[in-house]
Amino acid sequence: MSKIAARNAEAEQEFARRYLAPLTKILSKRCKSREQAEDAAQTALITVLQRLRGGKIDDPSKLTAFVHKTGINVLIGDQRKISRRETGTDTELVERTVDERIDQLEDIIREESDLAVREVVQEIKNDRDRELIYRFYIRQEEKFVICSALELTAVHFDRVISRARGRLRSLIETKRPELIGLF
Amino acid sequence: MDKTYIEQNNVIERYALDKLTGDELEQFELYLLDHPELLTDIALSEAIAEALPQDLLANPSAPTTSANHAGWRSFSLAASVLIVALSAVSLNLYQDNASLRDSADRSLSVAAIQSQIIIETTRSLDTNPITIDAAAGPTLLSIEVPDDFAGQELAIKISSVEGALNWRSGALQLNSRYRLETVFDGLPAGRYSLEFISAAESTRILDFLIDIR
Repeated sequence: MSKIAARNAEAEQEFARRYLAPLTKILSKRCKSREQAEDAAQTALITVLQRLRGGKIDDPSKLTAFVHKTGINVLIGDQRKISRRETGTDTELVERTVDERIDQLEDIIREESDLAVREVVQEIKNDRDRELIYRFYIRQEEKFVICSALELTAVHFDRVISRARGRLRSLIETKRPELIGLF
Repeated sequence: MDKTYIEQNNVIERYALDKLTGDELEQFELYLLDHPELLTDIALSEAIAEALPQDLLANPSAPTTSANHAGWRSFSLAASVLIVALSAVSLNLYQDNASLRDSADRSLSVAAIQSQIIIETTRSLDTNPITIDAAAGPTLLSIEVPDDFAGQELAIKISSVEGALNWRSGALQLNSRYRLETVFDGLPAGRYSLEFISAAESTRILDFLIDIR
């Protein structure tokens, strides 16, 4: 934070790079528009950067919460069609730091997931485990309901869900190694 | 929130399915900002949720329920979610369920439904708790809301008094007529609380008790 207050460009880029992707994801879940989320995330980070430069945030433990709150407030403001805060030349810094990793991540997974998910499900030989997956993801039943209906323990439930996700990841990474270490 | 809580409560999957709300949602979002490595797991969970129906539909040996979901991206709630019977009690809450907007999906879901329960409620609640006979098979629940709440975003919260079930809908857009529609596949007997909550402030607007027998 002190480096940002001292206008250290590298520190500012690191700050933007750290928060841009997760903040964009958070906001896109809230507004269902990737473009709007990206715009709001960039505006929010610029706002926070300006506060940091001015030394107005002195407690590092509160930085994440401030980024979160600012992001949501900017999104709400955009959604209410309130004119955006003037960002001046700061726009350049964050736009140069546009984080394409989130787009790359989602593109890879989207391209590979149809076949990969099919393979994951076909690898599940236990009918009860397949029904667990079906009930959780398709019928969106609560965990305790599924465990009760299928007479499963919570540990077993967690293992099946975790294994499905992990297996999917493994299949996609084998085919698209650029996914590894993206985040 | 920490990693253990996230794993034990399937937070990533529930976030991917848009099922986190309130404090839990906020806490996870804060955790995610400090742990962007979770973005991959979230994307994978979303991919499973999106790709899975096609996969099961393509596989004739896949498990099915009496509500055959061919071509239907399901939003059927947990089997133990509340069924509320046709009643002369208060509140008109009428909300279009986003998951049933598509007319093709709606016709498929309606065809699979064996019974229908509609709540029409007036403003004053004279009977509390309301006693309802459980419905068998896939049952469509339809609840109506009063015009007074136009312009607000509401959420519906249903919970069993023992605490075993605790479900909350996402924010529901209000207009002159609201209908909440969802499909249940059976429901255990018991006492439940149904609440209407201001989505923005998470404050309770109205609540009543229901006994399923």
